[in-house]
Amino acid sequence: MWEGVFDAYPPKYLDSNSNMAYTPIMIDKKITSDLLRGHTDTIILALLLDGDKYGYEITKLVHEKSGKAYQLNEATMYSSFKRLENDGRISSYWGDETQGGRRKYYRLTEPGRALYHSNKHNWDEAKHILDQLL
Amino acid sequence: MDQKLQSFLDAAFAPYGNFPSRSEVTKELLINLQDKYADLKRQGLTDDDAYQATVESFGDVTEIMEQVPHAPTPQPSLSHQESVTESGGFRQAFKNAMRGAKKSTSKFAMTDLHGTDLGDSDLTNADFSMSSLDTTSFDRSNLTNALFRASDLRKSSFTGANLTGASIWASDASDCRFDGANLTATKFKASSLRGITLTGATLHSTEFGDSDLSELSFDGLTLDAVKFDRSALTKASFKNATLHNVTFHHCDPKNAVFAGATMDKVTYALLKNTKANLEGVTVI
Repeated sequence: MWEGVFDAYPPKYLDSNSNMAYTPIMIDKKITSDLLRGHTDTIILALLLDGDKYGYEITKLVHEKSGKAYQLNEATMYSSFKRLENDGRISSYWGDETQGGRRKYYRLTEPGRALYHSNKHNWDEAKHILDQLL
Repeated sequence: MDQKLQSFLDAAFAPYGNFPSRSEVTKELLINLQDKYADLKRQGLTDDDAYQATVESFGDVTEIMEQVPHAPTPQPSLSHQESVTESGGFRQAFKNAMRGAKKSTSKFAMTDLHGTDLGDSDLTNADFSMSSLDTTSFDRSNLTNALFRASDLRKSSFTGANLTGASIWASDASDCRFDGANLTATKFKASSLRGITLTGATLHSTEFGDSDLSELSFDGLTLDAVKFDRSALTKASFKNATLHNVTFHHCDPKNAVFAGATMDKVTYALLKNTKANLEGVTVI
């Protein structure tokens, strides 16, 4: 059940005075991941800012850029792709991989770029407010 | 392996039938899963581990279907009661259990066996899903890998039975006797377990998920690698029990009683964080 949870957190986050420091992080993991899930669309838009990407490439980047702390699951990612595509925020095309299966690539549209900036702005505001309150 | 991943997707989307974009959706998802599997293999995982990790991180297919046009799926008749109190985990587990039970072909499924004596029998792999089994006796029977999904098991007796790897899902097992039963790797999920007795039962890698365990007594038992997941533990008692590698995930053991229990450091730390009352506990 806890596999992969321990290595997700480098020891520098842990309380050096206690050998029990892992546990609060384990308990909070579900809540943290629910909070992050609400921003999936924006996370994907952000990753498309610097170029077209395919599904697993995005999964992998989310994992790496979060310091291995967050895993975006396929179902959440795919539903986000669909939602963004239906709203015209991204477009998609099949790649021309010569070997192996062809991958579907996603590209940011202008409305998508605008949505990213507006979401980012909203987040910065919310973050500022929460930082004062919490 | 491609075939195995394809089968996993087929099973995941089976409840939605042939919706218009099905082949396109599953084609893309299959490639994502293949990419992930290949990547995990490159990191040195075995075939089995890589497959497990790949399908476990897939997530919830209903999330996808919210974005994809499809005909309404047939729901179990209880679905109109969904807004009541149960958690999402319970609802989902119950739906899955109903779905699985309907597909079952075993001769025991959907049968009325209440009050029957099925003691001292070899019932390995038997499927008792959606059956009425209240006050049935399974004493000393071999129920290895048996399935009880959406079954009525009220006041049944499993005294001395072997339930290794058995699954009791979305069932009413209240007041069942599991005294002296072997519950190694038995999975209790989304079931009512009120009033069950566990005296002398073997609890090794047993899983209790989405279940009501209030006021149950684990007194004096040895719990090894037992998992409690999203279950109510109000006034559950672990007096003089030995807990090793026991996990409490989304449970609230705050009001459980642990006086006189012995446990390893990890279990202790987990419980400590849930503000459980750990007075009189010995840490080994």
